[in-house]
Amino acid sequence: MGFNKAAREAFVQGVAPVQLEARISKGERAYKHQFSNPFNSGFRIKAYAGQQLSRNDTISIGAVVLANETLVRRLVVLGFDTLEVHSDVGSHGCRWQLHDYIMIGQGG
Amino acid sequence: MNNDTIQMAADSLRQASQHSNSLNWWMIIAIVELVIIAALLFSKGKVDDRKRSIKRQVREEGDINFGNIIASSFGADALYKELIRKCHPDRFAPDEKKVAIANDISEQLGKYKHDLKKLNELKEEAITKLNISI
Repeated sequence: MGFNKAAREAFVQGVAPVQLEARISKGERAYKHQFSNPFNSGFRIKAYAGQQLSRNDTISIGAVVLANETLVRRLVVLGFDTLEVHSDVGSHGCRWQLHDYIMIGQGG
Repeated sequence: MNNDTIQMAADSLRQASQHSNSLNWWMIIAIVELVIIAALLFSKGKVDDRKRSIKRQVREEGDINFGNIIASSFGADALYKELIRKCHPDRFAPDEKKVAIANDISEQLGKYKHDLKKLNELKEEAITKLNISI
């Protein structure tokens, strides 16, 4: 099951109070690595909360993604270099450099 | 008339020979460029092979439980805070066996802070082994 389908089901079942949606974004040029997609290298999670997410909520969503090393490694080899989390309202969000959270191509 | 024709033929031959000399130089430069391009492509192929093998390795790491990731985004933090407070080793101070278990659980709580599934497993373990209610 993909991220968006899992997020939709979690929202419908009441597990998640807001619906999350993952999409591709331009990414941050300064975060480029050897696998980076040349054009769209951002993995953006948008929360349909109807209001501005608190900074703690935003960081919490990002931290869960970053704590899953398998997911981060997969995102990196798929060409993503930036993780972005923001809500559907407001213009604030958080951004992380994915390469900081893996140990890829090292030690063999 | 005949001499003129011979002279003209000699001139054109000389010109042709000069022309072919300059063409050779260009040919040598082109060959050198070709060798450089081939070397670059070959080295790029090696890098691509390395990338491909890393990609294959990462893909073989197994499935990702997105349901757990979504649930953890909203539920892991609260459960972690409650567990870390209730499983603090100091709460079981005189009982050395329980302190050791609490130490182990607290260590694992730090490791799986953002994983709701693991936190629920640790919660069950804490309820069973430490006799606490959560």
